[in-house]
Amino acid sequence: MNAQNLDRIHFVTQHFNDLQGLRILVPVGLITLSQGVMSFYPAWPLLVLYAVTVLGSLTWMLRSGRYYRRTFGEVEQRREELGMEGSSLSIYSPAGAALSVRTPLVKPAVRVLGWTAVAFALVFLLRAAIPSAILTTDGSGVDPWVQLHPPVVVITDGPEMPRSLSDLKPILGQSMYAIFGTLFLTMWFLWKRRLPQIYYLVMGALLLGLAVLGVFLGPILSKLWELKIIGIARFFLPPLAHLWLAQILCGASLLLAGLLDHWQIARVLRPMREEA
Amino acid sequence: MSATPFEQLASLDRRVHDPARLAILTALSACARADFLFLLRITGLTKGNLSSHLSKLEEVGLVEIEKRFVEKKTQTLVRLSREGRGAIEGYWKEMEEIRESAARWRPEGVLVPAVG
Repeated sequence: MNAQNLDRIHFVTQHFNDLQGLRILVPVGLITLSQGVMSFYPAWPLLVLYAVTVLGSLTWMLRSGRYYRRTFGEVEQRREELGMEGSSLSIYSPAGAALSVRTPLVKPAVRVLGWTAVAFALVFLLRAAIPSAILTTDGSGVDPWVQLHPPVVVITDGPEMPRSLSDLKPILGQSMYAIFGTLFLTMWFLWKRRLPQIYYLVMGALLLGLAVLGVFLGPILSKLWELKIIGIARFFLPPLAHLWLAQILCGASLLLAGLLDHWQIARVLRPMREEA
Repeated sequence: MSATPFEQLASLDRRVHDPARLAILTALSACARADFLFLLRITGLTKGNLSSHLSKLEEVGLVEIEKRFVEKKTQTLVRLSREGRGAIEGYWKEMEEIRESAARWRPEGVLVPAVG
């Protein structure tokens, strides 16, 4: 039994209920992903598949608690008073690993949602503070956007209101990146920036990067246009312009995060050993 | 004169220092309570071994065991007692002190070679 094992035991026990990735993240990821596929190609066989996926995911969400209880057991997490953050002690080991002996605080899910809301509000304010807004249009003679079908983006000098519901789609897609990106980053920070959870940092940075790219798209595209290298935009415009692609990317991220969370539990909670 | 790291090691709480019990107590220190199945899977012990360790820990007052019926089956729930929480926290503090004193410790009568 070395320090790393004890640290893993402590972490998985402390976050056992949050690491049950198959309960929420995977079904919600599947629904979001299939919604994106449906929006891209709304044919009836896919509609049936979508309906089955949504129903199956919702049913699984209701039953998955039982699966975890029966397979891995049950843990009641500590709920301590807000502000009683525990101290971290390092335990004796050649690596000098850190182990938090006291567990904090309020329910982790509440903290995650709270911090996500705060982080999203900051991203939203940043977006509002940038005067050069990117809004959707049916094309206005600016060539680069004709590459997309339909042409969806135009640079404006100042804020401009969307003219129809479809005009809102890129904004919704970029907002999805901001929400999911901040959610992943918040979880990474609240889970004490552990290396085994680094996938939250990677996916959070990627999604938030796309959201921030959306905010600065106007100046970036103007510059690319001036420099006559607008072809580069082909790579990053589609995920910023199409809501269905944003749904697929965010859904796939949730799905991946859920599976990796579940793997953390399955790796530490070993199969039961028979008596010798 | 302060104790050497070896003396400190010898004075560690034996109820906690055993690897299996350390794993059980570490898991319990991270939650309000956990059931038998979870402890079985997280420690990797056999049912008999875990039962025996839990009985000993209950005997010395470090854990409290509660049984209840869920879906017509008995569920065993285990939690750290107040004394148990103090014992595991005290154990980690002692280990930290040992780590620090081991880093400082030099054997008596051994000359440290001069550099250069």
